[in-house]
Amino acid sequence: MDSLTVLLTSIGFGFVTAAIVALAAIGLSLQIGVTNVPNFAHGELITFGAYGALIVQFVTDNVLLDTLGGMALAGVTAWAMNRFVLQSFVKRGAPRIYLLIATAGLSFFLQNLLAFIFGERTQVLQLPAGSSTGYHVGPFVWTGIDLLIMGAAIVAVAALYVVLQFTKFGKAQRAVSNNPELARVSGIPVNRVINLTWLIAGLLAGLAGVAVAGTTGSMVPTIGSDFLLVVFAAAIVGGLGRPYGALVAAVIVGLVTEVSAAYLNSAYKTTVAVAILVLAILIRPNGIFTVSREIT
Amino acid sequence: MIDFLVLVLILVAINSIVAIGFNIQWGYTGLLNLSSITFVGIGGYVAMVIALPPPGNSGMQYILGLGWPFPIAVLVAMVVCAVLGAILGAIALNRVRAYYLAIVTFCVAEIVHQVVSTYIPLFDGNSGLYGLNPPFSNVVGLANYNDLYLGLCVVILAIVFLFAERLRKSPFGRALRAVREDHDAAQAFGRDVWLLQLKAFVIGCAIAGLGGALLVNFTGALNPDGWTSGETLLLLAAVFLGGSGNNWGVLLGMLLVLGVLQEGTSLIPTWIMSNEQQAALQAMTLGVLLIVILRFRPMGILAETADRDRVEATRSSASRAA
Repeated sequence: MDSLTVLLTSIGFGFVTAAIVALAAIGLSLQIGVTNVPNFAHGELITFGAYGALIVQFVTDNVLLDTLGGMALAGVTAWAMNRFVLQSFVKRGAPRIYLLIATAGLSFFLQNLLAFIFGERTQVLQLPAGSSTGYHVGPFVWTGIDLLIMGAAIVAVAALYVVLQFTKFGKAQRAVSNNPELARVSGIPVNRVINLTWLIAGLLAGLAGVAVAGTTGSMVPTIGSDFLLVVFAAAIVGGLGRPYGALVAAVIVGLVTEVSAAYLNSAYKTTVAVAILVLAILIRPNGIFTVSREIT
Repeated sequence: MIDFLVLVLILVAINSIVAIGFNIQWGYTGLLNLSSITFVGIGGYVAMVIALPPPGNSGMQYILGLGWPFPIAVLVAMVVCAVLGAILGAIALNRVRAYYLAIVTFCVAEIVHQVVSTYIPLFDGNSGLYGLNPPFSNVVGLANYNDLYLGLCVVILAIVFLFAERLRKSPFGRALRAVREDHDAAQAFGRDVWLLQLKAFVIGCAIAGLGGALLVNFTGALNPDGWTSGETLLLLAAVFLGGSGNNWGVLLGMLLVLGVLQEGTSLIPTWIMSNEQQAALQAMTLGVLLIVILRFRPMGILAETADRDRVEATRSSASRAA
């Protein structure tokens, strides 16, 4: 392959990765913005999405139903994580660093729960027939499953945009994100907003999980946690609580990781994303696309 | 059975050394260093490449290969970890505080892990290094070797423990606690918060390197699977269960978490569950344990004791003010 083809191919991969990272990062960014809980178990929500699809697949091969099953499992898991574990920490005013460690504990628990049930071996996700056919779109070549993933990501982001901009819930969510106390005294049902936000973050991460498993047709219990820092990179570079910033950052992170993989050892793919995250935190901890603010 | 117990106690002793180093960072100073286990790994590798002979045709690739004796290997491991800790700490502590420091150190741990397991010329990549002879084995022989090594580890643990206790009761230790309790107030009282935090960070990293060096000299081998985020979680669980800031608590926590929970459950017969399930169950228990402690008793079983010197200091400053 000549160097232009290499570059274009990697950019093509980059957009697929960007779509997956965007789904997970938008959810994480929203959830941290509204609840102020750093979630180290977000990777497991991705994993639960993949395994949810696997469970539904035992019943039916319909790819839409599998996807919805994955999203549902991840969504319910996210909701339950908040409702039964994290909420009690928040109510007691636990320091944020405890929440960070508690979610790390949750991550470990959930990941190994899957390892306990399904084993650590690779599980196969059946893909729809013809999904590995290559299609030429402009200068890029994508497989059917790649196109499906990017399409699903666009639909999900568009749906989220409508929900956030045009519904009462979206407005309430922005209010809570901005100032939870003020929102509470203004009569906004803050708890319901927070619960729903966790659910949405889980649904989006679940879709990302099905997509990750879809790109390779397989999954292991660490499939999501391998993505955690890449997703954090996009969410933090984009600015926490800014879903559209996370979207832009996800495209950047996706392109940079895949293009770097074409020139460096591909094992350094996530290393590059994590390095971006470290630099972003050290240089601009509030995100690249945000107004500078004093932080602690 | 006795042999198994000795083996477990060696691991508990070595991990307690690492945990005390972590306690100086987190318990004393409030710095959550999630790359502690990375420094154990680096310390282990450095001790190995110093002590191992040149790679030759062993099939492994690694730097150095000096064939120097055990005590020098351990010292070099500690110095290397201190220097790397100083570099990481100097940059990170200058820019971020508690919560983002945890994320930055976690990321650095991930980066180092990926580079070490991918870049083969450094420490032979993912397959890791092996073939290190137990220290002094040509003098004392290999019969009952573990008993002797346990003795060595306990002596070193005792030294580290006494050092940490002296540190805790010293004016420096009080300054660290002041920084932990109120960063801004400590600064307002003229303390160089950055330097205090950096010192605690570097001491912790050097002790982690010591633990790593002791570990590889016992196992004779190390690969990237030996220092993952799972090990970090074990360290966190032990310190939080025992009691952050209390060195006795840290010992107790490590004994309970590593000695009872981890090694104890490995005695479950395989007809009940496979080894794979056993490992998963251990990890699940660790995760739940960590959440339960943080939720119901975040200070741990043995809470940090309010020192007499602290009361006296308050009283004397109060009387001076009056």
